[in-house]
Amino acid sequence: MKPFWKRLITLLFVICLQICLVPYLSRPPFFIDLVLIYLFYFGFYVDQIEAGILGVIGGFLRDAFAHSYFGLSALVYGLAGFLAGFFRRLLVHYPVVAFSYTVWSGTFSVYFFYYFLLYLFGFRVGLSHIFAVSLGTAFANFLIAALVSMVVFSRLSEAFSKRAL
Amino acid sequence: MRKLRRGFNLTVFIVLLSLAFLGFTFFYREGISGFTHQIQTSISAVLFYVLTPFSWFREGFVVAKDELVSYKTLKARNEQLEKENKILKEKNARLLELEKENQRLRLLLDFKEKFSYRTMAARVVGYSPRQDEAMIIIDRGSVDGIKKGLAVLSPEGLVGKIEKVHSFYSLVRLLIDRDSGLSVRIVSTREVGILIPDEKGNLWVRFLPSHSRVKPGDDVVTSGFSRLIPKGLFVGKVGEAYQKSGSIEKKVLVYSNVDFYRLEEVLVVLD
Repeated sequence: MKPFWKRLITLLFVICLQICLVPYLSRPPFFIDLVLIYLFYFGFYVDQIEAGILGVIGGFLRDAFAHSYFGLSALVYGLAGFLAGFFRRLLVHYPVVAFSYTVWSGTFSVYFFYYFLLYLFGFRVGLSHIFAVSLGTAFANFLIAALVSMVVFSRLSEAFSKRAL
Repeated sequence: MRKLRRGFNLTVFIVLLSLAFLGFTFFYREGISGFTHQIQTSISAVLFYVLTPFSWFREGFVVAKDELVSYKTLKARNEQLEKENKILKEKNARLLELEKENQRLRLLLDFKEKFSYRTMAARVVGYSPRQDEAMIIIDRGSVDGIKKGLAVLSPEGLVGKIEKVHSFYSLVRLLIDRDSGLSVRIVSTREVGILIPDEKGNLWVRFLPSHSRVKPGDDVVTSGFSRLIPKGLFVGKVGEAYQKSGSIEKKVLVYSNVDFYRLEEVLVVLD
């Protein structure tokens, strides 16, 4: 098992990529959220609770840098990482499909929940905007997750089969 | 041990989640100078330094993206310029052609003005399709007063004579055609011979007397024995003279200045 600080550095690297690179790759409402994909992967494959902790820390950092509502992303990302672990049992048969589906549904839920909370707190966010951003981001993340998982899980399955031999 | 660790992690997670919830609540309720706002600013400042190397990477990415865009723009511009260049080249070639034609026509006009006979300018519109004969087609015919046997000139010298006349065009048999034959005179010696080409297109004056004193560089002109070809039209200059031992005939090679394969405008002598 890797030490937790290594996971934190990886998370920091992903956040940096997210902040620096992703704005140039995304077009509204299709946002790519690499942090969320990383958290889903972590919760899905490694550990549910650690994914939750990483999600909270990543969310705090994201809120800090983006000067958005401090704690809101932490809350949502933490829950997302933790809940991704419940899809873990799907990993056995179809890892690529299962992971992509988790990312799709998870991203939609997270974004919908995030904006819906803002909506409940009285921020001026239209429901159509909430749906558009949630669906767009879910679709963009789904594509990225499908591509990434095709590479990652094929290597993992190779590793598993070697170990079984 | 593992269970213990898991329990610890779960506790940490719940604490962090609660902190997040509390942070968000406080952030929402307090003013800009509040506690959570200050924490946010501090974390942001630290994260800014961490992000600096990434900003170089981002700048590189932006530059690469701009380069790509400018490359696409340049490529489109280049294609447009290539098209324009092609059109300009065509125009230039046409202008050069017109300039050359202008020069040739000027030369022909000068020649015509100096020439005492009545002439008619004609454009060469084609060459004989048969490879075994050297003939050209001109754009003047019987309607223009062209008759069979008339002499055809260029500023460089005699070209040939009209062989066949149609209403709007005529065929000219060139001097280098194997069936051509013309009575000529050596200017210096006043001797008369027959100008006949060989298979290679070289012009020979034959049937000169064996005692002829013809020498290289002498002018060769038309003799005037033909009814339709005037006397004294320049044909060429004597190159070399040959005489077989015991033969009564002397023959000389004549160099014509006319480029028979690049004729474009000619004069037909009407008188």
